[in-house]
Amino acid sequence: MSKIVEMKGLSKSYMNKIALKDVNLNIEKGKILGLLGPNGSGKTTMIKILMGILTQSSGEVYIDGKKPGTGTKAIVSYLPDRNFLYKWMKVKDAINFFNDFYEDFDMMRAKELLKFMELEENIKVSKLSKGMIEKLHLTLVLSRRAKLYILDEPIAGVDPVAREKILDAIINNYNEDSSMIITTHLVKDLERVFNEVAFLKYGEIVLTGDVEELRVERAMSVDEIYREVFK
Amino acid sequence: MLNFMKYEIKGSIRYIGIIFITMILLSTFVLTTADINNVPRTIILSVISLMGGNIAILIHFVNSFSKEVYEDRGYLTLTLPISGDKIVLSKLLVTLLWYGIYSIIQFIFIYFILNKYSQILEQPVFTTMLSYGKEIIKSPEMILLVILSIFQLILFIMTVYFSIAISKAALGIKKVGKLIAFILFLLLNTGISYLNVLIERVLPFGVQFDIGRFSERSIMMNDIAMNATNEPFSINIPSIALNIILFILFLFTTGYILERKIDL
Repeated sequence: MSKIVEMKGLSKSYMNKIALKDVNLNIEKGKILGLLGPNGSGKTTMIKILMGILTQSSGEVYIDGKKPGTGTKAIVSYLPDRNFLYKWMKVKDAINFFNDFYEDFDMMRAKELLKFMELEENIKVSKLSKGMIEKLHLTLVLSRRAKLYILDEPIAGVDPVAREKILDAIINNYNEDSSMIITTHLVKDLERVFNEVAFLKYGEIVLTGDVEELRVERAMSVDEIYREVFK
Repeated sequence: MLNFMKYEIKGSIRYIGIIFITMILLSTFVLTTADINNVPRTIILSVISLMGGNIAILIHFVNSFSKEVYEDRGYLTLTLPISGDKIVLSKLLVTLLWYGIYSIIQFIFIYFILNKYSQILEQPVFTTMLSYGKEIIKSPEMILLVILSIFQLILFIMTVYFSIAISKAALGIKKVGKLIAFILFLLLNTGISYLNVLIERVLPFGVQFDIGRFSERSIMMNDIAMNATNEPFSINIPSIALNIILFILFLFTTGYILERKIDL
């Protein structure tokens, strides 16, 4: 199977802190990878390097055989862990924005997802609650028919009802020809979605593998493995 | 790039609209109350209107670029499948658009104010100013001067963008980065001015324009301290070439930094 993401010897350090240390990780096409670790383990750092909005200290990264840049941004649908929409926008402006910039944006799917998420088009983004903003972000990201989806903490800080809605949207709208990376420290909620997992501790991959194989091998759920690895 | 410009315009229209409305209201007040007895007040308010609007637009475009590299909206802008130089060029063109529209509206009001004074004052000074203005505005010299002024504005904007981008890339910290950007901007502009003076001295190859044909009118305007000159007006070609090179350098360097070197 061919790889959509390749990371070779990826390292990132700041002044006196090592955020990533010699990470080697490949993600095959069509897989959903759970990138798991506590706060500060390097998950977001890795994602930002993949997205080309952070420069690595050393190592190589390839997305579909290309280095992160304008070309890879066209095939990667990214959900950051913060509110990234322009403050002046309404929901419909955000939808139109994504439609204008991304050739793979599916307007019909976007409208369906908006309905599913119960979001009104004429509301200003600045007036939305945290949960509603997350739902809007996810609508925008999942409405693209991208080769790779990267969701950075998609359910963090969201109430349980909205969380269920978001998880259902991910499961129901996931394209089996695409790959997905989901970072989270809320493993229990997202475990059912993953094909593969990688555990990141102090910037290093400490465990990686197929979810089913790990469950059988260790006779534990991924959540239990997570607690074991990070105790 | 046109899509990016569209959203830049949409995003700035509210703020710019407030500036324009304020300026129009102020200028309308000045125009309607312009009188023989309040010439100084008319001049002061017109200058406030002109300068105030220009400063407000300047603040807006500096903030707009700054937000892309320092705030969360960068996660949207810098992850778009659009090259850095196109982002920079789009922002530049939209800023020029607002400056252009603002200047045109301002000049229209100035024309009407001068016209009003030329009708209510017995001295021919304002009528002379108006017809002098109408004559030189159509001249090749004035057209060239306007083009050069626009280019100077473009270079000014590009030094702002470059200073912000490189400070963010080098330092990353918001407060210190913005201060360093300001210092760098001052240094760059000083350096560019010095280089231009140096080039004009070392390579004095220019084009001269004779404005003697305007001297008759300019003498008539000496009553209101218009400093007319019979000296030829010249443009240094190597200096213009340097400024064009600097513009291209700043554009592509800033674009490269946005695309490859900004750490959000």
